This record gives sequence, structure tokens and C-alpha cells, in this order.
Amino acid sequence: MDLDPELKKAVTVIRDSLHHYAQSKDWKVEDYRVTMEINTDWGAITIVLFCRSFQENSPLEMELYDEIMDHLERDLEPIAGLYESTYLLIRPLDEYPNSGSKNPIENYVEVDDGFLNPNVKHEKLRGSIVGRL
Amino acid sequence: MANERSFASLGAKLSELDLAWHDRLKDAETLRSAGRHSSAIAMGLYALEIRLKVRICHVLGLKSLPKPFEIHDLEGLLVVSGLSKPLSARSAKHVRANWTKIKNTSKQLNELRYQSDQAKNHQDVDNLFDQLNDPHAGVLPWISTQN
Repeated sequence: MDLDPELKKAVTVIRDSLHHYAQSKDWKVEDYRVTMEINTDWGAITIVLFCRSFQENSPLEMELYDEIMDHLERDLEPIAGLYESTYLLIRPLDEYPNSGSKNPIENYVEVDDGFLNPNVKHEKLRGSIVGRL
Repeated sequence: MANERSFASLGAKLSELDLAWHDRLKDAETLRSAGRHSSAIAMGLYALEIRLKVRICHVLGLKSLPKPFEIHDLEGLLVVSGLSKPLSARSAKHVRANWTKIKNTSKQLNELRYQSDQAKNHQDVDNLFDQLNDPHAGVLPWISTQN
């Protein structure tokens, strides 16, 4: 996949930031998934983080969101405008598209297996990148 | 003014849009009360889309929405309404969380047209209404506070 180098850098920084956050919380690899949709027309990157510890509509939901956004803000700061362009949605792990959920979130592609995998063909990412590259 | 130019390609009138977004919100409330979940969600999303178009007219000082802005992509409407930067402010962090959830729900708008009401439940509707209307972090009240 020939991602624009700047975009690839942005995706890598976001990916690394979220993996570091997960490590800091002692999450195991099977406890979370990082997917993304990139809208190149309007300059928006939407992350969907599926994680086991997410509890929808509980006070912990916003606590987790705040903590991860603060973490992202710190790590994304060196790239001008990246934090401003990045949106975060957190969902329970059992909604991860390949987990058999009845209501999968479509069009989002796993970062490591998709955007940053040189063996994945551009056509396979269609839908997860909206707009022109 | 641009909207007085006969050659300009202008769409819906601002005055009409301003009434319409309130009406779609009332429609959404009525549908929610009637248990029409899918339609209530769709109307809530339309209300936000039209609200952003009203904002675009205000920002550009126009009495009608230019045709190129007759788009349905919330992400694009946020940018052209001048709200993407204010939304990234620390003070708007929870509004931004709600915006992202709504944006994700809006991806189902086409499906909502063809879904039965059983496909969504009361909680789904309540969640969207909170994301739109919460006085502290709802997207619609927040838009109204932006200059």
C-alpha cells in the first residue's frame, strides 16, 4: 500500500501512541484492536479503539476517553495539526468486526494489518480511505 | 451581496434552513416518543446536518446556502462551517467525543431508511439524543455557543 509518506507517518505515530498507552495499562495484545478510517478530502482521521475494558454509558467511559485523548495529544503534538485532525471512538472489544458481532463498524481497517502493511493492496483498503490519496 | 446576484447558484434559504433544523429535531422527538427508533435517529442526524448548513450561511454572511455546500458529509460540513478547530479545543473535549459518535452513527443513515424499528432500540435513540442535546457536551448547544 503506497500511503502518502506524511500520512503514513501520521498513522504510525497514532498507532505507536495507542500501543504505548495499552502497554502502560498492561493490556495484552488480545485485549484491544486499533482500527482507523482516513478522510483525505476533509483531513480527518477517525480511530476506533476496540477494548475489553470499555464500559459504555458508565462514568468510566469518559474517564477512559479523557485519558487516551490526553495521551494522544502529548504524542501527536510534534506533528502540526495531527491531534486536531484525529477523532477517537472507543467501543467494546466484542464489536470488533471479525468477532462475530451483529453490529460491526464497517469501513475501518486495522492499522497494523492494513494501513501499515506493505503487502496489503490498495483495493483492500477501499472504504477505509475516503477521498483521494 | 452574493445571494442577490442572479447568476449565483444558491440553494435553500437560510430562513428556511433555520426553521427546518428545529422541525427535524421536533420530528425526532415525536418519533422517539412513538417508538420509531430508526426514523428518530435519522431525523436527529438531519437536524444536525441542517444546523451546520445554517452555521455556514452565518459564517459566510449569506442568506442562502451555496449549492457546493449542499453536501451530506458531516465531516465536510464541520470543516466548512469553521468549527473543526474550535472542536479540537481542550474545553470542547467531551463535545468532540459526542461528535465522533454521531459521525459514526451517520454512516448508517442509508441503512436506517430501510431498517425496521426493531433494528434499533430505545437506548440507541437516547444515546444519540444525549450526544446531540446534552446541555454541557451536546453538539447542538455547543454550536450555538460558537461565534
